[in-house]
Amino acid sequence: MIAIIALVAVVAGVGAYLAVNQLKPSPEISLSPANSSKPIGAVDEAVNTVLQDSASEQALIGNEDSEASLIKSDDQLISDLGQSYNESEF
Amino acid sequence: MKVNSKQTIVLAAIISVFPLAILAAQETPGKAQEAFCNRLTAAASRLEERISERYTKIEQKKSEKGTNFQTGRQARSDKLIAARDSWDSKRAEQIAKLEAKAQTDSQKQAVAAFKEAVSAAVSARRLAVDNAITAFRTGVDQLAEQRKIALETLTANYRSEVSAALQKAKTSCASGTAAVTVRETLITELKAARDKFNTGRQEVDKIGPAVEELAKTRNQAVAAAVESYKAAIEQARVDLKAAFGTNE
Repeated sequence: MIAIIALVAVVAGVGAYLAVNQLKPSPEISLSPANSSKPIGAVDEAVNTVLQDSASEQALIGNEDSEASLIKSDDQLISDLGQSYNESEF
Repeated sequence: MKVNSKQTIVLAAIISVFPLAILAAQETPGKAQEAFCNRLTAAASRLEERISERYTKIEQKKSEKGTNFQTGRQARSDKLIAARDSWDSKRAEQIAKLEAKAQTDSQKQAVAAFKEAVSAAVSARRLAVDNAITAFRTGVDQLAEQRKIALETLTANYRSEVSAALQKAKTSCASGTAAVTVRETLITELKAARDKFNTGRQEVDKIGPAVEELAKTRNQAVAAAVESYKAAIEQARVDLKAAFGTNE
């Protein structure tokens, strides 16, 4: 009899534990970085947006540098031309 | 007598063989020369063919490069235009918010002044940036053209010198010049052509630092434009805050 009561108590305990944990909300995962800075006003928001243009534009202009490597993209072919002969051939 | 007979036979054999030995001695170098000349002609053909193939590849690359320059520039210009359009929209949204927020005449005037100041600053910055890009591209075009002409001269001279050296060797060979001499002369002349080509090549390669210098000038111009822009926008922020209060 005592064993039955103990078994029921254990089953009830496990059931209660599972029920509580199932209902507990899972920790929320934020996809955006935590924003600890204080909220900015409309003026600052507008100005920051306007300033962001120049930084983004500057980054885009850096892509022009690809021309340097393009100019010399025939380097290997020119080297090959200069190495066309082998003394042992003659 | 028996010994004398043997001596006579040996002597006769020597005498009979001697002219053959002389003939063989004369024919062997001739055949060797002929064989060398044949090998030389074949090797010369292979070399000329190889040079021709490599030259063709350089020409193909030249054409491909021209196309890539144009498509690359167009793509970058298009991307910049699209980005600017996007930034214009975001800026307009922000200014609309400010306009909605402005309650007093003073605030409304401040927003209008801000809008005008930003617009002028953006235009000035874009003009400076566009000019910097144009100057960079024009400079690169000039350097690329100089390099192209220099390389054309260099490769044409190399081909011509190699061809002349080969022709000279073949003629020399056919006229009976010793194979060793023909070979040494040819190797010396080919090496001279290659050394000259490589020296010229080093001159042509100086384009690298020249392009870097152009990029540096461009970056300095852009950085100066951005600094002026930031200063103008910061001043506009101060003026706007004066109307809206520092908490805004």
